[in-house]
Amino acid sequence: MQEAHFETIYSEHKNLVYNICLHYVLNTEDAQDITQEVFVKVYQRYQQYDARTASLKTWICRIAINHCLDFLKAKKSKKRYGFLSSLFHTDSIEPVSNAVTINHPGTETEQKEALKHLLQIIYTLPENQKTAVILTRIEDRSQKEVAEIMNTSLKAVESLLQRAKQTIQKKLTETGGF
Amino acid sequence: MDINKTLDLLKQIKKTEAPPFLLTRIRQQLQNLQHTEAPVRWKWAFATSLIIILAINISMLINAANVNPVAENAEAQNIVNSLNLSTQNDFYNE
Repeated sequence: MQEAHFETIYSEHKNLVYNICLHYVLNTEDAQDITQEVFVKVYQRYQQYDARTASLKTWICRIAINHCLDFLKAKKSKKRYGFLSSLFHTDSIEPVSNAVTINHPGTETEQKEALKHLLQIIYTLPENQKTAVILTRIEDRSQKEVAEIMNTSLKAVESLLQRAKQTIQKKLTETGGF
Repeated sequence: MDINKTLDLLKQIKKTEAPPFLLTRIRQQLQNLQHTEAPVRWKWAFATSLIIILAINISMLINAANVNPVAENAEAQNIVNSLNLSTQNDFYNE
Protein backbone atom coordinates (compact mmCIF):
# COMPACT_ATOMS: atom_id res chain seq x y z
CA MET A 1 0.00 0.00 0.00
CA GLN A 2 1.26 3.49 -0.85
CA GLU A 3 2.14 5.52 2.23
CA ALA A 4 0.06 8.49 1.05
CA HIS A 5 -2.98 6.25 0.57
CA PHE A 6 -2.54 4.79 4.04
CA GLU A 7 -2.33 8.26 5.55
CA THR A 8 -5.58 9.25 3.82
CA ILE A 9 -7.28 6.14 5.24
CA TYR A 10 -5.80 6.92 8.66
CA SER A 11 -6.94 10.54 8.72
CA GLU A 12 -10.46 9.56 7.62
CA HIS A 13 -10.93 6.82 10.19
CA LYS A 14 -8.64 7.65 13.13
CA ASN A 15 -11.34 9.29 15.26
CA LEU A 16 -13.88 6.58 14.52
CA VAL A 17 -11.46 3.84 15.59
CA TYR A 18 -10.17 5.75 18.62
CA ASN A 19 -13.68 6.46 19.90
CA ILE A 20 -14.84 2.86 19.44
CA CYS A 21 -11.76 1.69 21.36
CA LEU A 22 -12.45 4.21 24.12
CA HIS A 23 -16.05 2.99 24.52
CA TYR A 24 -14.86 -0.59 24.89
CA VAL A 25 -11.79 -0.28 27.10
CA LEU A 26 -12.78 2.96 28.88
CA ASN A 27 -9.30 4.38 29.22
CA THR A 28 -7.15 6.50 26.94
CA GLU A 29 -3.86 4.61 27.17
CA ASP A 30 -5.30 1.25 26.15
CA ALA A 31 -7.44 2.92 23.48
CA GLN A 32 -4.32 4.52 21.97
CA ASP A 33 -2.46 1.20 21.95
CA ILE A 34 -5.37 -0.63 20.34
CA THR A 35 -5.90 2.13 17.74
CA GLN A 36 -2.24 1.80 16.82
CA GLU A 37 -2.55 -1.98 16.45
CA VAL A 38 -5.73 -1.62 14.38
CA PHE A 39 -4.05 0.65 11.83
CA VAL A 40 -0.97 -1.57 11.63
CA LYS A 41 -3.33 -4.44 10.83
CA VAL A 42 -5.19 -2.32 8.28
CA TYR A 43 -1.86 -1.59 6.58
CA GLN A 44 -0.81 -5.25 6.61
CA ARG A 45 -4.13 -6.71 5.49
CA TYR A 46 -5.25 -4.09 3.01
CA GLN A 47 -4.58 -6.49 0.12
CA GLN A 48 -7.18 -8.87 1.58
CA TYR A 49 -9.89 -6.20 1.75
CA ASP A 50 -12.70 -6.87 -0.73
CA ALA A 51 -14.80 -3.78 -1.48
CA ARG A 52 -17.64 -6.00 -2.79
CA THR A 53 -18.30 -7.56 0.63
CA ALA A 54 -18.22 -4.45 2.84
CA SER A 55 -17.33 -0.77 2.80
CA LEU A 56 -13.88 0.23 4.02
CA LYS A 57 -15.45 1.88 7.07
CA THR A 58 -17.30 -1.33 8.01
CA TRP A 59 -14.14 -3.39 7.49
CA ILE A 60 -12.07 -1.09 9.71
CA CYS A 61 -14.85 -1.05 12.34
CA ARG A 62 -14.82 -4.86 12.43
CA ILE A 63 -11.05 -4.94 12.91
CA ALA A 64 -11.30 -2.38 15.72
CA ILE A 65 -14.13 -4.22 17.50
CA ASN A 66 -12.34 -7.57 17.26
CA HIS A 67 -9.15 -6.03 18.64
CA CYS A 68 -11.04 -4.48 21.55
CA LEU A 69 -12.82 -7.74 22.37
CA ASP A 70 -9.54 -9.67 22.22
CA PHE A 71 -7.93 -7.10 24.49
CA LEU A 72 -10.77 -7.38 27.03
CA LYS A 73 -10.61 -11.20 26.94
CA ALA A 74 -6.86 -11.10 27.58
CA LYS A 75 -7.36 -8.64 30.43
CA LYS A 76 -10.07 -10.82 31.96
CA SER A 77 -7.95 -13.98 31.82
CA LYS A 78 -4.99 -12.08 33.26
CA LYS A 79 -7.20 -11.07 36.18
CA ARG A 80 -8.53 -14.61 36.56
CA TYR A 81 -5.04 -16.06 36.85
CA GLY A 82 -3.64 -12.99 38.58
CA PHE A 83 -3.86 -14.58 42.00
CA LEU A 84 -1.99 -17.71 40.89
CA SER A 85 0.72 -15.76 39.09
CA SER A 86 1.12 -13.43 42.06
CA LEU A 87 1.97 -16.49 44.17
CA PHE A 88 4.87 -17.32 41.86
CA HIS A 89 5.91 -13.80 40.95
CA THR A 90 6.13 -12.04 44.26
CA ASP A 91 7.64 -8.94 42.63
CA SER A 92 4.40 -8.30 40.69
CA ILE A 93 2.79 -5.06 41.84
CA GLU A 94 -0.27 -5.21 39.57
CA PRO A 95 -3.48 -4.95 41.55
CA VAL A 96 -6.02 -7.75 41.21
CA SER A 97 -9.39 -6.08 41.02
CA ASN A 98 -12.68 -6.53 39.19
CA ALA A 99 -13.57 -2.86 39.11
CA VAL A 100 -12.86 -0.98 35.90
CA THR A 101 -11.16 2.38 36.16
CA ILE A 102 -12.81 4.81 33.76
CA ASN A 103 -10.61 7.37 32.08
CA HIS A 104 -12.82 8.36 29.14
CA PRO A 105 -12.45 12.03 28.12
CA GLY A 106 -15.85 11.97 26.40
CA THR A 107 -17.67 11.51 29.71
CA GLU A 108 -16.70 14.93 31.06
CA THR A 109 -20.30 16.21 31.16
CA GLU A 110 -22.74 17.44 33.80
CA GLN A 111 -23.96 13.91 34.46
CA LYS A 112 -20.46 12.48 34.61
CA GLU A 113 -21.05 10.11 37.52
CA ALA A 114 -24.29 8.69 36.08
CA LEU A 115 -22.57 8.16 32.74
CA LYS A 116 -19.64 6.39 34.34
CA HIS A 117 -22.00 4.13 36.29
CA LEU A 118 -23.87 3.27 33.10
CA LEU A 119 -20.62 2.61 31.19
CA GLN A 120 -19.46 0.35 33.98
CA ILE A 121 -22.62 -1.73 33.59
CA ILE A 122 -22.23 -1.84 29.79
CA TYR A 123 -18.63 -2.99 30.31
CA THR A 124 -19.92 -6.13 32.07
CA LEU A 125 -22.36 -7.11 29.28
CA PRO A 126 -21.66 -10.13 27.04
CA GLU A 127 -19.59 -9.28 23.92
CA ASN A 128 -22.40 -9.13 21.34
CA GLN A 129 -24.78 -7.18 23.56
CA LYS A 130 -21.99 -4.75 24.40
CA THR A 131 -21.20 -4.21 20.71
CA ALA A 132 -24.87 -3.66 19.86
CA VAL A 133 -25.27 -1.07 22.64
CA ILE A 134 -22.03 0.76 21.86
CA LEU A 135 -22.73 1.03 18.15
CA THR A 136 -26.42 1.97 18.34
CA ARG A 137 -26.50 4.07 21.49
CA ILE A 138 -23.07 5.71 21.68
CA GLU A 139 -21.89 5.70 18.07
CA ASP A 140 -25.47 6.43 16.92
CA ARG A 141 -25.43 3.93 14.06
CA SER A 142 -28.62 2.50 12.58
CA GLN A 143 -29.54 -1.09 13.42
CA LYS A 144 -29.00 -1.97 9.75
CA GLU A 145 -25.44 -0.65 9.87
CA VAL A 146 -24.81 -2.49 13.14
CA ALA A 147 -26.11 -5.72 11.60
CA GLU A 148 -23.68 -5.24 8.70
CA ILE A 149 -20.72 -4.54 11.00
CA MET A 150 -21.56 -7.50 13.24
CA ASN A 151 -22.20 -9.68 10.20
CA THR A 152 -25.60 -10.70 11.51
CA SER A 153 -29.31 -10.12 10.83
CA LEU A 154 -31.40 -7.12 11.78
CA LYS A 155 -33.57 -9.34 13.98
CA ALA A 156 -30.50 -10.58 15.84
CA VAL A 157 -29.42 -7.00 16.57
CA GLU A 158 -32.91 -6.13 17.83
CA SER A 159 -32.87 -9.19 20.08
CA LEU A 160 -29.36 -8.34 21.38
CA LEU A 161 -30.46 -4.79 22.20
CA GLN A 162 -33.57 -6.05 23.97
CA ARG A 163 -31.56 -8.44 26.13
CA ALA A 164 -28.95 -5.76 26.83
CA LYS A 165 -31.67 -3.35 27.98
CA GLN A 166 -33.11 -5.97 30.33
CA THR A 167 -29.69 -6.69 31.84
CA ILE A 168 -28.86 -2.99 32.24
CA GLN A 169 -32.22 -2.30 33.88
CA LYS A 170 -31.75 -5.24 36.26
CA LYS A 171 -28.25 -4.12 37.23
CA LEU A 172 -29.37 -0.52 37.69
CA THR A 173 -32.15 -1.67 40.02
CA GLU A 174 -29.71 -3.85 41.98
CA THR A 175 -27.25 -1.01 42.41
CA GLY A 176 -29.96 1.52 43.26
CA GLY A 177 -29.94 3.40 39.94
CA PHE A 178 -28.15 6.71 39.65
CA MET B 1 -37.55 3.47 35.26
CA ASP B 2 -37.61 4.06 31.50
CA ILE B 3 -34.56 2.25 30.19
CA ASN B 4 -34.65 4.05 26.83
CA LYS B 5 -34.45 7.41 28.61
CA THR B 6 -31.59 6.12 30.73
CA LEU B 7 -29.72 4.91 27.67
CA ASP B 8 -30.25 8.30 25.99
CA LEU B 9 -27.73 9.54 28.53
CA LEU B 10 -25.07 7.81 26.44
CA LYS B 11 -25.69 10.34 23.66
CA GLN B 12 -24.03 12.93 25.88
CA ILE B 13 -20.67 11.23 25.45
CA LYS B 14 -18.55 13.58 23.40
CA LYS B 15 -16.48 12.48 20.43
CA THR B 16 -12.79 12.52 21.23
CA GLU B 17 -10.00 13.41 18.81
CA ALA B 18 -7.28 10.80 18.34
CA PRO B 19 -3.95 12.14 19.65
CA PRO B 20 -1.67 13.53 16.89
CA PHE B 21 1.34 11.43 17.95
CA LEU B 22 -0.47 8.20 17.05
CA LEU B 23 0.46 8.39 13.37
CA THR B 24 4.16 8.71 14.29
CA ARG B 25 3.85 5.67 16.56
CA ILE B 26 2.13 3.69 13.79
CA ARG B 27 4.81 4.65 11.24
CA GLN B 28 7.50 3.61 13.72
CA GLN B 29 5.85 0.25 14.36
CA LEU B 30 5.46 -0.40 10.63
CA GLN B 31 9.12 0.42 10.08
CA ASN B 32 10.17 -1.90 12.91
CA LEU B 33 8.06 -4.71 11.45
CA GLN B 34 9.72 -4.29 8.04
CA HIS B 35 13.17 -4.47 9.65
CA THR B 36 12.43 -7.52 11.77
CA GLU B 37 10.86 -9.54 8.96
CA ALA B 38 13.21 -12.24 7.64
CA PRO B 39 14.26 -11.94 3.95
CA VAL B 40 12.51 -14.28 1.48
CA ARG B 41 15.79 -16.13 0.75
CA TRP B 42 16.10 -17.01 4.47
CA LYS B 43 12.54 -18.25 4.57
CA TRP B 44 13.15 -20.53 1.56
CA ALA B 45 16.42 -21.82 3.05
CA PHE B 46 14.68 -22.61 6.33
CA ALA B 47 11.77 -24.35 4.59
CA THR B 48 14.13 -26.43 2.39
CA SER B 49 16.28 -27.57 5.32
CA LEU B 50 13.15 -28.47 7.29
CA ILE B 51 11.88 -30.58 4.39
CA ILE B 52 15.27 -32.35 4.07
CA ILE B 53 15.36 -33.16 7.81
CA LEU B 54 11.80 -34.49 7.67
CA ALA B 55 12.59 -36.62 4.59
CA ILE B 56 15.65 -38.14 6.32
CA ASN B 57 13.57 -38.92 9.42
CA ILE B 58 10.81 -40.54 7.40
CA SER B 59 13.26 -42.65 5.36
CA MET B 60 14.99 -43.80 8.59
CA LEU B 61 11.63 -44.82 10.06
CA ILE B 62 10.68 -46.74 6.90
CA ASN B 63 14.06 -48.53 6.84
CA ALA B 64 13.74 -49.44 10.50
CA ALA B 65 10.30 -50.91 9.90
CA ASN B 66 11.58 -53.03 6.99
CA VAL B 67 14.43 -54.70 8.95
CA ASN B 68 13.74 -58.36 9.79
CA PRO B 69 14.46 -58.74 13.55
CA VAL B 70 15.03 -62.56 13.31
CA ALA B 71 17.65 -62.22 10.56
CA GLU B 72 19.36 -59.41 12.41
CA ASN B 73 19.47 -61.51 15.60
CA ALA B 74 20.97 -64.50 13.77
CA GLU B 75 23.68 -62.31 12.30
CA ALA B 76 24.55 -60.98 15.75
CA GLN B 77 24.66 -64.53 17.12
CA ASN B 78 27.12 -65.57 14.37
CA ILE B 79 29.46 -62.73 15.31
CA VAL B 80 29.23 -63.65 19.01
CA ASN B 81 30.04 -67.31 18.25
CA SER B 82 32.94 -66.55 15.96
CA LEU B 83 34.57 -64.25 18.49
CA ASN B 84 33.82 -66.57 21.46
CA LEU B 85 32.10 -63.82 23.33
CA SER B 86 30.09 -64.44 26.45
CA THR B 87 26.35 -64.05 26.06
CA GLN B 88 25.80 -63.75 29.81
CA ASN B 89 25.98 -60.73 31.97
CA ASP B 90 27.55 -62.55 34.94
CA PHE B 91 30.98 -61.33 35.95
CA TYR B 92 31.82 -64.26 38.23
CA ASN B 93 31.44 -67.94 37.57
CA GLU B 94 30.49 -69.17 40.99
